[in-house]
Amino acid sequence: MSVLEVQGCSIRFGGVQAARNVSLRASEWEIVGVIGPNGAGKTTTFNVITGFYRPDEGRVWFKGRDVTGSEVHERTALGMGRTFQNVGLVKSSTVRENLLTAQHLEAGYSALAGMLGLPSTFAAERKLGRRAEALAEILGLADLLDTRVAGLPFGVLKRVELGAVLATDPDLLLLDEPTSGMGPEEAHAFGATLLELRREFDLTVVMIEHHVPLVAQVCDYVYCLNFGELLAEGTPDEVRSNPEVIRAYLGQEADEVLHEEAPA
Amino acid sequence: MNGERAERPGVAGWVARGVVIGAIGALVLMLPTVKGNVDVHIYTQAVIYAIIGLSLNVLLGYTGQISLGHQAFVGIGAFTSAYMVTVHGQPFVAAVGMAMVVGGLQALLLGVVSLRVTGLYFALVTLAYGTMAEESLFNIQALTGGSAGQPAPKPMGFTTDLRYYYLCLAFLAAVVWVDWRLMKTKGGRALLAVRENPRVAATFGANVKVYTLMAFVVAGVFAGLGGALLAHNDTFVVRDLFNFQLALVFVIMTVIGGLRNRTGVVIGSAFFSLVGYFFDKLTSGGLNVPGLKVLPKEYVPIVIGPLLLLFTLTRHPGGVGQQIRPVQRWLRGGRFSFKDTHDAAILRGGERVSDVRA
Repeated sequence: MSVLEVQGCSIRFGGVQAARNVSLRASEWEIVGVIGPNGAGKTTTFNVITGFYRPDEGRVWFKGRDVTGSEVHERTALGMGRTFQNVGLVKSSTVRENLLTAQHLEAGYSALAGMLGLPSTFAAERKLGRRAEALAEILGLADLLDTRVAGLPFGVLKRVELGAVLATDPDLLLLDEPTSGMGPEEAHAFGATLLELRREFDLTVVMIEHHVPLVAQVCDYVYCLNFGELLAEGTPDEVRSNPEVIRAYLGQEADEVLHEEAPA
Repeated sequence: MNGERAERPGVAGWVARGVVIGAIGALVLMLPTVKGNVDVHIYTQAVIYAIIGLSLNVLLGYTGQISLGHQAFVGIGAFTSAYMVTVHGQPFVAAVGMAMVVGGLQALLLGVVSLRVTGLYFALVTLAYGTMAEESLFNIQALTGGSAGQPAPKPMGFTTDLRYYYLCLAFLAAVVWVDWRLMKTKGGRALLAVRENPRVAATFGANVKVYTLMAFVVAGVFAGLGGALLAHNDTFVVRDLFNFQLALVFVIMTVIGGLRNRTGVVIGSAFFSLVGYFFDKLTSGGLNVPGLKVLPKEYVPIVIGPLLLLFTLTRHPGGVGQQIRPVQRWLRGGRFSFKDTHDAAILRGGERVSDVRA
């Protein structure tokens, strides 16, 4: 069953056609890569999927439900989790507070009950706290729980963000350049982490990624966008040997990049 | 930050902290009993101002929306309660409850506007709203008694100033409790996320519109309560009280108290409620500085306020809350140190007013 299905989405901002007839799908347990040069419409597509933008044409289906008109928070409630290119966290709060904030829909009590301080909310808060600590443990953030997010190194921020998104209990994880700012080794390690998280949290993943070796390492299927249009799709090997992709995305020095293998 | 967690104070340390907390509590409870009746009324007003400060803190601190019309929020509560008691003969509890409901509803209206208009433009909308209430709403003869005002007797059982003081203290305690629990649970966390980054808040599953409106309603309910208590403290409400100057004092006292710092806001609000009265006492009680006597006590906050505000904005963006943070940390069992108070304030992402959502 396909978890996510984007059908012919187009969106235009003034004179710029940011996405034209983009279709993509992700089946249960798949890791789908979205690649393409800067300005190809990758993040725009993510914004259409998560609900920040409404497409002018086309539909978005999530777990068999048409969510094209749904609000962002409604899609979160359905099980969409998303990270941002420039890190989506509450920067003035601590790591722990962020992991708690992200469990907004897991709280199990109403905001009113919370502010009146009903006894059950104290117990619920303790439970959320334990879950935040468990997540921090998994992601190696346990020592940073009471550190303010602002000022943490970018790589750590990315990990905190991943923890926060996992705290929302997603079925589909949309990652916008999860390895930006990482070196090849770290990116490779991230690939292993991602495979582990998929197993542990039962996830379907769609990720925008520039790191070709990582895409080859983890992705089951790859879509390549260029100028807002789908240029190619297929297995990582098919896509990276596609001459159109090589021309558009990798440019002149294609061959070197193309045949760089993932470090063992 | 992690280090101080490890060291817990010994028995003597906890006793010392207990003594300090006890002394503060005793001061608050006993102070009105040793003075004459006139002062008690003033102390009660300080307690009510603290409630109003916490109301404004919800908007300005938690959502980053400024309200320059808070005199209307408070005034509507005051007149609603007085009207219910005097015209309809309702009991105090029902009147105060109604003031909170009406306060919440009128705030909800402004909240709806704030979904469309933000930042400086929203400040202007609230300014216009306050003036509108002043010029039209508070002139409805049946509701407010016109320029003559509306009587608002103290409730049964709390007719003495001292008893009423304790009643208001109990209400303040309830407001502090709600504010504390709000910020410790999902609603408050959602508010902070919305203030800082609405997209992140939505991605975390919070309905941005609903939580913005919720903040307005909470602020309105607190303000309505504050207004009702203010009315019965004076036993008479006149519309001239709720002018723009009052709205300015409300904003100033909250900012100087320190946004998002409950204790700081309470101290700042109480200070601004008391400063005029005690300034008057000082000048009439022997302190003879030429020129000082010319200043009527009503204008003292409006003169001192901007000076302190300037100091707060330029030197100590966390206001009183930032100053007392070492003490708060010590009382919670940490070590007394001034270390990281300033950095923490800056890192907190702007305990500053310039932070109003644009």
